[in-house]
Parts: sequence; C-alpha cells; structure tokens
Amino acid sequence: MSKKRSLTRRIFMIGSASIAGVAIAGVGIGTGYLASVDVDGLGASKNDTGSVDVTAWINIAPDNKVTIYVPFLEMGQGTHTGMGQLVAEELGIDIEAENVSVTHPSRELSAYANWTMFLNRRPEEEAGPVTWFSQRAIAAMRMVATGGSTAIVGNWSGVRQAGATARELLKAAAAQKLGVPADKLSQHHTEFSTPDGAQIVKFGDLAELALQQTPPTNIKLRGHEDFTVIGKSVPRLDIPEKVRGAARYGIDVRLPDMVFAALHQAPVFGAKIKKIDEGQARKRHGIIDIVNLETAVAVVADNTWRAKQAVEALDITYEWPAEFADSSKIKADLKSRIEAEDYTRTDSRRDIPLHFEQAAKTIEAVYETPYLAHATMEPMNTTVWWKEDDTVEVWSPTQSQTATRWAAEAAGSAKDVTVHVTYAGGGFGRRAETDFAIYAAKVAHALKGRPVQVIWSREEDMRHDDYRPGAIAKMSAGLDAAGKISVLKAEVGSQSVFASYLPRNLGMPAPASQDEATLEGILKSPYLPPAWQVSAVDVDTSIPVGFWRSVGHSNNSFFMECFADECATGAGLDPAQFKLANLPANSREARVLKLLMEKAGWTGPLGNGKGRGLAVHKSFRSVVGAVLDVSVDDEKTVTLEKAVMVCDCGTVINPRLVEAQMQGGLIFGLTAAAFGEITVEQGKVTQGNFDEYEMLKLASAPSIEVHLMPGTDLPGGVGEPGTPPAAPALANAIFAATGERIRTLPISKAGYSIAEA
Amino acid sequence: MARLTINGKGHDLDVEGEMPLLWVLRDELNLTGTKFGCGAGLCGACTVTVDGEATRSCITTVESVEGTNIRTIETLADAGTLSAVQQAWVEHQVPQCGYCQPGFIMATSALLDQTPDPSDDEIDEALTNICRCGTYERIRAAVRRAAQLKKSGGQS
Repeated sequence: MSKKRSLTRRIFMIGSASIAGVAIAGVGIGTGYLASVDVDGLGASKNDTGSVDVTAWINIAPDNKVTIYVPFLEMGQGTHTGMGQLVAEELGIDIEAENVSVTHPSRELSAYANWTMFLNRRPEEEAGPVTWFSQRAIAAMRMVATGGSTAIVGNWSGVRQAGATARELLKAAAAQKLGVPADKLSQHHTEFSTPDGAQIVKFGDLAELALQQTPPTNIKLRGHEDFTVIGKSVPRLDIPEKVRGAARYGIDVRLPDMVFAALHQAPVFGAKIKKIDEGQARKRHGIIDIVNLETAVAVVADNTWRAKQAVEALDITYEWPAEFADSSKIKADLKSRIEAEDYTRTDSRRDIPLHFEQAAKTIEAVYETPYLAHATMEPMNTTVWWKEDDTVEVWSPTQSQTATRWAAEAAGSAKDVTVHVTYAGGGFGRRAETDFAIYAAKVAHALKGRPVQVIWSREEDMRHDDYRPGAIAKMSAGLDAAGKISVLKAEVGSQSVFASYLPRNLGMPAPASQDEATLEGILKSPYLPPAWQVSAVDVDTSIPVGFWRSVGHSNNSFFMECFADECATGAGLDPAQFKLANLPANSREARVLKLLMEKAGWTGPLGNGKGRGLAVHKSFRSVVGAVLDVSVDDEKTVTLEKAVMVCDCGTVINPRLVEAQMQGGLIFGLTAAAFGEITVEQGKVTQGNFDEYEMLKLASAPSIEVHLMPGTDLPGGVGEPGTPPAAPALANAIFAATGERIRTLPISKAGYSIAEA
Repeated sequence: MARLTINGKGHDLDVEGEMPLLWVLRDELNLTGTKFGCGAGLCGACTVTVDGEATRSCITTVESVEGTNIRTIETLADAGTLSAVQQAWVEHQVPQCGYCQPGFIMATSALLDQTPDPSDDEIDEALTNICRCGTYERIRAAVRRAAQLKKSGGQS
C-alpha cells in the first residue's frame, strides 16, 4: 500500500463523529504542511496547453475561449450547467455563448476535493480549527468525487469566489493594458472596454497579463437581488451534443488500435475463478487474449460481440465461498435480531416503556424493503491504456476520480496515472464504486501497450452490482388523546453501506459502529416526540451494498411516511392534517406540506377507486413533498395518474434543472416501489435483465407537476431528494384507494401491477 | 462478408452474419451514437431505423438487414441543422444523462414519419424504450412539439 493510501485510511471517515478524528489526523500530518494546501484554488497559473488557468475553475485560451472546469461527473443531474452558472454569475459572462464551454478536468486539484461529501459538512456551517484541519486533510488527498448531492452545496461560496477573483484579475490586467483605472472599465461578456468604447480588449488577450496581478481580497459577492445567471433556467449545456448522438460516454471512447473486452464474473458472491478451460476460444475470429482476474475472466477481442461470444463459450471452474448468501435468510435474521433487541446502536430519549403505558392508543407495524440494483442505462465500463513506459491513461464514467486513479495505480507498477472522466449514462451511486475500473486496469496491464475497453453485459451489471440494501423496520408509536404522537420507536435492520463500501473501495476498515446511513431520515426526523427510541440491527453477509440514489433515505422515508399515515388512520384523522399537527409548526417540512396541500388541492379522500398518497421527506439538505393520485381497479391494477411535488432546496440555481431532478427522482423511486427487487439465492442474484428487473415506461408514467419553494437560504441538494417521497406516496395512495396497507415493497408482492395508461 | 447501407453509404464488412447490427455500428464503424443498453431488445437504447422502421439493433443480425437502408442518429441532422424531433428535444430540454435519448429520438422519428399526428396511445405503443432518468413527461411533450414542427414544414 502506498503512502497516500495509508494516509487516506487515516483521514477518511464519514459521519459527524469523525470530525475530531480527521482533525487529529490533520495535526498528525502537520499544521505547516496543511497550511500550504491550496483549498481555494484562487491563484492563476500557466496551463501546459499554452492557455491560462485563472483560478482552478476557469481556463482562458488565447483565442478567447473560456473553459469552466467542473470536477463533478455529469451523469444526468445537470451539474456541468449548474456549476457553470455559479462561475458565470461572478465572472460576468454569458454561459450560453459559443466561446464558453464546460469540461471535467483530468487534473485532480486540492481545490476540487469534495470534503463536503466526506465530512457531511457545508463550508458555510462553521469555520473553527476542527473544520480547518478536516478540510485540509481531505484536500491534501484531493479526493475528487461526486455524490451525496453535494456539488452545489459544497461549492456555493467557493466557486462564486473563484469567478469573482478571476474577473478582478482580468479587469486589473485590462486596466494595465489599456491604461485606464479598473473601475472605469465596462465588461461585456468576455471583453472589457474603455468608457468611450473606443478601446476593447478580450479575455484571451488578458490571460497572460492576469498571471502578474495580485488576487484581490475581500471581494464582495453579488447578493440574490443582483443575480442574473443564478436562478435562471439556463438550457443544459450538454443537450445539443446529446440529441445529435455526439456526446461521448465511457462506452464511446475510441482510441487508435483499441480493443474490447467482455467480462464474466464468478456468479456467486465471494467465489473465485479456479480454472479456465479455454477450449477453442483463442482460435475464434478476432480473439486477442483471455485474462484471469481472480474473481472474473475477461476475453479481449477486436469487437465487443466477439469478446462476449467467446467468454460465454469458456468452461470455468470456481472456488466456492464457505457460505452462500441468501436474501430471504438475511430478512429472517434481521427480523429475529430486531425481536431479540440485538441492536448495533441505539439512541433514545426519556422513559420509552412508561410513555407507551401512558399512551391513549398504540400503533405498531413492520415494513420490509428489498435489495435494489442501480441499473444505469450505460452498463459499467472503463477504458484503460497502459503504455509500455507504465504511464497509464484511464477513461471512465466514474463518480470517484481519485479512487479510480488509486485503483489503476494498484493494478501494477504504474507511474503517472491520469483519469479522464467522461459523460455517464446514469450513475445513481453505482459509479462511486471502483470495481469496473479495477478490472479494466488489470486487463490493460496484462495487455500493455494497447488500449482496451472493458464492457459489462447487462446481466453482469445486474448480477454484480453493489446493491441498495434491503431493510426491515418495526415501527411503534403511542398517540395521546388528541391524536398527537407521544412516543415513537423505530427499530431498523439493514446491512451497513459504509461497512461494505469502505473496505471494498478504499482499503479501509469498516466503521466501528453502525453508520448513520441505516437510520438517516429517522434519527433526526421532525416527527420525533420528546420520548423516542431509534435503534439499528446489522447483518453480516457477502452481498455487496453501496450508495443508491438517496441511500438510507430510500428505505427510511418509506417506513416513516407510511407509518405516519397509519398513525393518522389510527387517530381517525386525515393524513395531511395529522402530519401537520405532528410536525413542528416552523419546520421546513411543515412549510412544504402546507404548500403541497394548496398546490395539490388536498381536500381529503377522492373515492371511486381513486386514492391520493402523501409523503414529505428531508434529505441532503432539501425537503421534498409529493402527492400522488392513483386509481386502482378490481384486478389490483394501479394507474399512476398524477403527481404534484413541492421542493424546498433553498436558493434555486436553475429551476428547470431542479424540476427535472424532482420528476426523475420520483420516477426512480416509483420504479423501485412498483417493480424493484433483487433476490439472492445460493449466493447468486436471480435477476439478469430488464425483463426480470422492470422499469417504469412512458405509458405508465404519471404527469408530475413541480413547485419550487421560493427562498434565499443556502442551496440544498437536488439529485437525490426527489426519490424518498415516491414509495410512501404510492403505498399511501393505494391504501387511500383500497384500504389495503402495503408494508412490503415492491407493491407487486401484494399482487398489484402498474397500468400502461 | 456483409454489405450494408448505413446512412446512405455502402460498407463492405468482414463480419459474421449473426453479429448484431449494434456492434457493427459501434465497433466496426465507430458510429457510437447508437447505444448498448441490454443486448436483449428490452430497453431500446440501440434503436435505429431500417427502411424507416424503428429497429432494435442489438437483436438484429447483420444478415437480416443486408439490402436495406439503415439510418442512425448521426445523420438525423441534415448538414448540421437539427431534425424536427431533435429540435423539439432541445426546446423541451428532454435529456438528463441522455444515454437513452438517441434511441427515443430514432423511435420518435419513425413514428412521426408513419403517423404524423399520433394519439397518446400511439405514442405509448411506439415508445416502449426505457429512460432511467425519468424524462417521460418531457418526451411526451417533445413528441407533440416535433409533430407540430414537422407539419409546419420542418424536415423529419
């Protein structure tokens, strides 16, 4: 293990309890060293392409082209456009102009480190010594990564600061060049002019001169009232090339002399390749090599299809693991551990049993959710060119640029690894993993000198995912005579995502205690009355689990918002009124709920086989509510008629992008609630393709109306928060229509299907 | 050997007759706009038109399309001008990740060539592709807009 890896091992900890640990690690690294880490990236420097980087976020070329660097994977969420808007606002440029573009930088700079995601801290939250050490310790490792809906959240202030700094540097250069005081100059997009308009100078002519200017301090950033780019529905910058079929995804990388590899992974979790009987495989048309990757076999060919045909023809013998995972056994284990109160962590306030005794009414329900696959439209893939001199170039649709580089470095004696991040055909957390890069790097190492693209088949992608863990929750509440929750107990059983992710991707030990992801959305729920208990139980299994759009919230919103609906029924109250009465009056959730009731025209039951379901959930610093209208016929066929959503994500950068994320997030959650289930039998995943793991399609999709809460608070995330309300809104709507409670997902388990309009 | 006519151009290809068209397009001709999604004709990301019919190229063998006219996303725009369907897709800001959209655009192009003013049911029947980002609402609006643009004289 390299020095860098072990350093990361020390500093990479997630969750609020880790801050102090990171700070101690920071002190260990050395205050003097950390002070030299450039976390802001506000300096100007010459780029090796002959252009000039005016801050870490902006490149100016001599031909007056402006390139905005966005070190976040564009996987559909619109981050290139949204982040670009932050830069453009302060740089004072027209982001839609032809000489402006956005690119994902291949360099990993400290300023790009996503410490907001790793530490779960927003830069504006605090500025004490602990933050100083934590931020710099992460930045020293660079840790460029996309996830946790953090791009805008983590860079709201810093990137605008960079835009403003670049503007001032260029303006000072213009003043020097034109011999006019800076404050007399006017800026029009990428040029400055003298007061009489007689002399004009372009950014491209100023970049070199900007290098010699001193970055100003104490620049005042524009206030909300002055925004001209932030808050506007700027068209997505990537759409023109995406509708032409010209956008380059990972799978579209083409290099001279490139070859293709198909993969076959050992079908059982924990199994290894024991022996490969190649038969006549190497003699097949176009076959170049067969590589044993210990847990998989790759066949390299001149064409993906030929590679796949050949890999399927191999006769492979496996070394089986000691135990074979089984998803139904995991469920049973979690259930019995909840019954035995065999908690891995528990938090509580006040005397829970006493409050249950005193309650006017008690309600109890047990909910279950399944394992889920990410099923990104673009299957896992990475292209690696391991050159003869051991320099390595990687092209990958990855959410983990830095960890991908480490993965390539670890595959052989690589020096100077560069990771080029391409567009991704969906991500949803799957591309935070490094497995697809590791396999590609190993194949490329074996093939030294020739670029190779390793592509997974859909079945490989489905059966070797890092799944959203299934969960079980036993929910109990006591209500007082007025129908208010007086005591709440939530016992959640689920595999720990971090315990699975950290050792697998970063060579780090699992966290000592159950991580908060298992309980997020319940532990700090605004429904918690003064007396509450929130407990977790864990299970040890070889099924790999990972981050799936909204992570623990995807389970916990279902438990919490369905249970609140059940409590409303128990109290004999309308669900919306019940929730409003039980949420703190000044909470963001209550404000969203009120606006949602107004926009959806919430007036109570619909009747006639129709039902409306409601859910409001906070995740990733945003609150999203949804009202879903369904109709259900006698055959239990559910028509998804219409959804109304309200999103409070603080300051909105681009309303149309947020709307798209809300709609897409809801569809993602509805798809899972309607059909999604991964089952594991004898260590193998049963489902292989979209016929067995179905997706909601156009004919079934509801219309979705989105309302954004106006506001000027710090921005929250938008990529994930649209998903959590989907499943509870659907289950609550079906209850409203039929009187049947669905406590186990997907709804197909209770015999319900989705109508194709 | 196979001879295929793709985007109006003839290609002599040294490929097996049973190779799916998708892999000829992507790996032999570097026409990467047509995407691989499932390999089983289930998701539609690989949709091209064959003699004007929307066709899932991942389950269409080379030998079955010899002598036909195959069209891919790359030449939908005429000399740089977007087709009506592509224009509508831009106007309605349809794509998110965009990976499935070439397939949707090709399927919509074939639909509107045959049914210039499709009903909702006809749209549902023709567009059975999968979009994991959930852009369906914008797709429906864009199909309607494309029909309008085509009628008002835009190209297909």
